[in-house]
Amino acid sequence: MPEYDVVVVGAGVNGTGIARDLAMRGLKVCLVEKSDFASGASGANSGMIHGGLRYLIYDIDTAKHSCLDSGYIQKIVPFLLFRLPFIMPITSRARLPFYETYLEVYDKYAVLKNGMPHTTLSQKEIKELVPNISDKVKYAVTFDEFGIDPQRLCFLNGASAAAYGAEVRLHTEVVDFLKDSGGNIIGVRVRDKSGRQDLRSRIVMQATGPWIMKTSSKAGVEVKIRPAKGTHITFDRRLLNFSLTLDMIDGRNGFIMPHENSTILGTTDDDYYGDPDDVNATEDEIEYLIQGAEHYLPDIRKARMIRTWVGIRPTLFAYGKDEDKLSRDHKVFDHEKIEGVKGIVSIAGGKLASYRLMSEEAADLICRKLGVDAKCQTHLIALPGGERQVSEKELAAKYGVAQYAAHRLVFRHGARSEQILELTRERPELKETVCLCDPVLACELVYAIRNEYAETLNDLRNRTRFGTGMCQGTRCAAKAAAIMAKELDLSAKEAGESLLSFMERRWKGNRTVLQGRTLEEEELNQASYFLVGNLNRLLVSR
Amino acid sequence: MKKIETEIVVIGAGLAGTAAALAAVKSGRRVMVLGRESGASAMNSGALDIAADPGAIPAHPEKWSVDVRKNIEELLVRSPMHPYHLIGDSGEKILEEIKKALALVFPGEDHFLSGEPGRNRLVFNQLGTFKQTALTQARMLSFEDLSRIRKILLVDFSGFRDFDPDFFRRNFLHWTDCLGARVELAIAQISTNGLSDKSSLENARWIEENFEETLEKLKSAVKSSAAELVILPPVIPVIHREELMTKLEQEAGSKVRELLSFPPSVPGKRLGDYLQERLKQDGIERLMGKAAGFEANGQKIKSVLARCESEEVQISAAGFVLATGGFLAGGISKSESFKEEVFGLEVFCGSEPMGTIFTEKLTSARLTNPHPVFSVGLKVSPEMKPLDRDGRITYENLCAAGSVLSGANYIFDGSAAGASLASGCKAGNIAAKSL
Repeated sequence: MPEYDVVVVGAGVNGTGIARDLAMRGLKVCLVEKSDFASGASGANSGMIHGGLRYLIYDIDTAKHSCLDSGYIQKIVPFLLFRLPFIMPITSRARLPFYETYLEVYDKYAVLKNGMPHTTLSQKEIKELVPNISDKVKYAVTFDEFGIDPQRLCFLNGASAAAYGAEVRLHTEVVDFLKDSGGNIIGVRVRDKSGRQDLRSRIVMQATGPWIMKTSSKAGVEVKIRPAKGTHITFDRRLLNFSLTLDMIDGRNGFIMPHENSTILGTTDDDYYGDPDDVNATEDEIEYLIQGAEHYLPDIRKARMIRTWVGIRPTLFAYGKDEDKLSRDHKVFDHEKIEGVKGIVSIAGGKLASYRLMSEEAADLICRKLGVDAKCQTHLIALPGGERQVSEKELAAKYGVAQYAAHRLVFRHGARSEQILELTRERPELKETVCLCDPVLACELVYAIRNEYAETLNDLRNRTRFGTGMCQGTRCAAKAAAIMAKELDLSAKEAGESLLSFMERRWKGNRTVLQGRTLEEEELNQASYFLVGNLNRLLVSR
Repeated sequence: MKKIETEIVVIGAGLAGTAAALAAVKSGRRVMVLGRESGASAMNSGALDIAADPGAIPAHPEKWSVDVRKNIEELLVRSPMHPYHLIGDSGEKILEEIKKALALVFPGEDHFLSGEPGRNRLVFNQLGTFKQTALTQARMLSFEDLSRIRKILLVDFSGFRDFDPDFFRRNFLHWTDCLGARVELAIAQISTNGLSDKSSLENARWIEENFEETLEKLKSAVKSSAAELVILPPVIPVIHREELMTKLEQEAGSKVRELLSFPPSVPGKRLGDYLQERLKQDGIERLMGKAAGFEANGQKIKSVLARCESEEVQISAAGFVLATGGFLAGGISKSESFKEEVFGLEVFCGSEPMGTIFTEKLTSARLTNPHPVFSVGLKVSPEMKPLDRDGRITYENLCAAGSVLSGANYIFDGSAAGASLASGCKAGNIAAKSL
């Protein structure tokens, strides 16, 4: 039976962050994930490393930690972040002094993450920046946040953990916990496509996000969270170049922001009692978000929605509080202290921006338990690709690819972009643009299959953004399937099933926004893969 | 604004519109067809579907019913609103009407189509998988072509970005093996000099422009391979197709077949061109443009407004046929509510008027199930006249045909061509006779 110091369950941002931290401290780590990196809340958030301006009022520690750690994240993975200047529209003069004072306080924390101090804008200035904004916006204040690709962030933490010796096992589900006669945890039983296996470990670290209540009950411990659903809508293209905060109908804050080639509108925050594996946006959530955006951008209904997506926040439990007022703080659960169950530690709560700090705290506790006194280094050493800067212009010229494609590559891979483009030396056909919406080159897909644990088309989508644009994969899914089938020598059936699962995931996202061009695109997609390709009749969908 | 007068205006130049126009002309009417250049025919794969087996068990093609008459009868039971109900009440009668429409639109001497309307074949596409369909354009690769064949040569044109020969081979060998055929597949790459990473239409244009050169390259590749069958991806040109395939067959001595295509496609373009030609042959006037408005007097439509490239044209007529298709074709759109684009007619799903609805309600959570949203459209009287929500005829001189009608889910039923042809003919005949 394989034996580890620590088995980390869950490859979200906490799981990968903890696995990296522990592996860097020299521990023998196995990271186990039932699906893919960032397949839960870590991949379905707003993609912001933000200070949490709104937490300033009632959760000042979270705001401060987020800002401080955001600074560290910028240092270890500079290529993956982008500045997101926010405009906070104000409709009445009476409210202006309040926001100005508020942001003066925030400015003190913003420097920790290299944010610019706030400014105040006149209506004329706002119109110049956001021409489609409503006339009722008379003033605005600005502040700075940072955007990130959260899926890449998880992957890079996982990849770094692996580089320090951790074993990474995706598509591997924990089906049970191994216990000694006293009920203490001594390992996990996992299941993957090749069957079941027992893994012994001195500590099992649960970082299972919204699944934590499910996994805890199997372990015989209790972690109470208050899961909250956050729904987002993605629009085609950048509808604006600055992010806007939105006052929603219920007084909550929302936002609309440019993200890569698209625009993201979010988010809702509602208690969620359902199955975290089966969650989707609803009609009223979509209307709620659109209505909030329409208040500031009157033309928003004319824009093309391409999909919706949902994350379940594993917020810490509290009774008698409104969802929005729940603390974004995190907690590391030492079950030996709480329930007297040895060998298991859990983490819940927190936010993307402070993942590194949370991971450090959990890793510190585990090291104390195991008698290891190595120190945390995750804030000092770069994530893969962050070791040095590369010039996208030089890369584009050296390998003969469009600079725009090189730019996207460098955003996702930093210095590793060179290794990816190096694949085209032997096989120039890998310079081909597979996904025309974003654009993604064939060499990036091949690299992800060879070096980034991508086994399915959905894995590829998570790593490269192929199939995330306007056509949602109509044009590129078959092409990517062909590349994958060749690299992994998949059978026709395996490749077809991968295509079908990719289409099922697409369906989950766009089924809620089927109108206008998005409906036409879906008709084209089903006409291609079903009417002509006949995949629905040749394969049995699972 | 220019003004024209005719007897019947058909809006839409796809299969349904063409069938309607040809039927009306046959009854001695003056007809004008208004529509985009090749309409939604560009979305055609090269196959003309009449009825797939509605009860096809996934992954068991050997059990799929190939009897089209039986499939239509099953479809009538399963889909109470299917446009086939407007054509007849038995599989036999409906198939009979489809055959009549086929004879009208594809007279046969030109051998544009192959296959029998009453029997489905398994026809291969560019992915290397296959579908069941009755008719295809001539020389598309069906399973029957593989009988007593062992050595196959697959041609890969270097400039065609949507074709992966390795992936095709992987799929093709798997599925032919499942069907019980043992074949060997070699690949020959034909270089399309200077053309790379391009669509099927751009490749077809290149081949057309470099016809002799391509033919020579193909001939030498085929000869040296000693293959019994040659498979070409769906990039074979529109004008020179027959010549290219015949010469290749004669001079290289092997059977030559083409694959069905994903839309938009070269076979679709060929179908569009064919339909244009048919209209011309029968003396039907053709106006390229988009219907952008209309004038009515009570329940009678007087004229439609055509927006053409350089001008607006008002076409007055006594009868009108609407054959504008579904979402992709542009006949129906959906924002908060569904909308029929030309006359603002009531849109139905089954027998329910739609109005404002959250589209998700018309879908199934399971992707591979049929989704009612793709069968929304107009509800018509037995005389093909669009009805309002109270069941009254909206305009007495307007008929509708083809995919703009509700009740058919062509992606799942595999009935698009049959329904378009038969309903088109019926609408054309009614429009002609009711003047």
